[in-house]
Amino acid sequence: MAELQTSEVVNIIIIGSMGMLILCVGFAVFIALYQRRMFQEQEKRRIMDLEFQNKMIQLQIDSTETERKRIAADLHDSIGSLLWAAKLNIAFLGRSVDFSGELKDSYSETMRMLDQSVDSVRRISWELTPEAFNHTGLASSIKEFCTRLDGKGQKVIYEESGRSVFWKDDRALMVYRIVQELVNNAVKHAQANVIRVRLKWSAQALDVEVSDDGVGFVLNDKVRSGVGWWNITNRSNKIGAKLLVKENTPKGAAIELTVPLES
Amino acid sequence: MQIPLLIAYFCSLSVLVPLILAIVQWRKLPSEISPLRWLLLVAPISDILMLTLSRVFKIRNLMVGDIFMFIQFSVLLFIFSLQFSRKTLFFIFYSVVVVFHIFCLVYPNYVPSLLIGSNAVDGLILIGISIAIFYKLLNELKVMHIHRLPILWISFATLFYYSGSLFVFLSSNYLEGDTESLSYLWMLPNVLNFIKNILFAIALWQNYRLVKSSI
Repeated sequence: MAELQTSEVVNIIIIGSMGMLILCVGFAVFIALYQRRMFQEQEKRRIMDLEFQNKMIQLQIDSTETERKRIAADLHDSIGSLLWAAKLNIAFLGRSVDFSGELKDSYSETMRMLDQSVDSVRRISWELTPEAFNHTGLASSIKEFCTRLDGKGQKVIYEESGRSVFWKDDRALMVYRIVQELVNNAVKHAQANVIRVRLKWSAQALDVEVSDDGVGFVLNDKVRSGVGWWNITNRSNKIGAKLLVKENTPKGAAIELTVPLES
Repeated sequence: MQIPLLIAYFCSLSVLVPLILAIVQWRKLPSEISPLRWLLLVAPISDILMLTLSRVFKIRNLMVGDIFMFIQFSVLLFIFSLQFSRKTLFFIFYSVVVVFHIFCLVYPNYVPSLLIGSNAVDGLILIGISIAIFYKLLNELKVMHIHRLPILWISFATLFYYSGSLFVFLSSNYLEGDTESLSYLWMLPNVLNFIKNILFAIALWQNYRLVKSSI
């Protein structure tokens, strides 16, 4: 009887200890499970935030592009046509009436101003949305952009290597906008004399390098949160491109953009 | 002095740890755990009273223990009820326990001794609610670090203490007659009490850290 009692006591102690141990393990498992779920939930929220952010960026970029196209079309079709018509009328007037003295000077001045206005409208319209983009693609548009800027206070050199691809979709337009922003930055802020835009095509990617001999730039929080840099980084994120500041010294800067050709 | 008695004294004294922490942050305790300070204040009083009754007056002190257990049940049930929106359910639980205890007092012969002695009904209700709180916490995912939540430690203390107590009382019924084994088995509620007090202390410490970090 006494022996049986001892074994029973041992059994009870074992069962009790096991029970308490299971409770403790259960508690630890609970905490681990909680943390795991919490991290999963956070990750889910982070992805959702990122998706939302991307959507907003896309919407903003899309609306900007649409607005640019609308303004460009309006400028070209409306003001451009009116100016052109005005120029034709005045030219007709010049042929019909024999101006002399001050009147002739005034006529010539008006014609010159009209020519300048027509050119300005065409230039602004082209800068907003390059006409060439839809016809000749990214490379030609960048080349055209460089040519237009070349000699106007700075030298802009365009170089291209590799087998060029005719590329004119939305991603290509974003690359064009990034190059535009980088070159404009070099002109406006870096006080560069020589700006070099290099396009290097390969089967998988396009490497675009914009380098200059300017004073470089400070990539602080103010610059990072600025519209220009924000546009560059967001657009490059959007198209899955890699942005790399290769060089940034008081003697010049070089920024490389690697764009995968397949999205 | 006998070892079980020494363990009992030591375990009873452990209540001072959470009590000191409760006193330090007496007014800073959030409403959801503030009733705990009253429980911690009553616990040493009840122990002193029980000791005085048994040692000085040489009379049975079980009644004091039962009253303390009832206060403990009420306080814990109240704390847990603050975690849920359905207060009616807690009122029903409380009413059931009160009626049951009154019935046990008036008609002790009609109730199995095991149920009276072990506060089984109280224990089962609190165990169930503790598990429900764990489930609720896991579903809601309210805080980043769960171990910083005082209610988690209070729930675990309750679950641990009442599960252990229930096991001890069930075993004591099984071992009826074996005085020596029983005397050792009865040390377990003291150990459980010690663990409960330490877990309460952790809950209060986490609250202290929370208050300090938010200042």
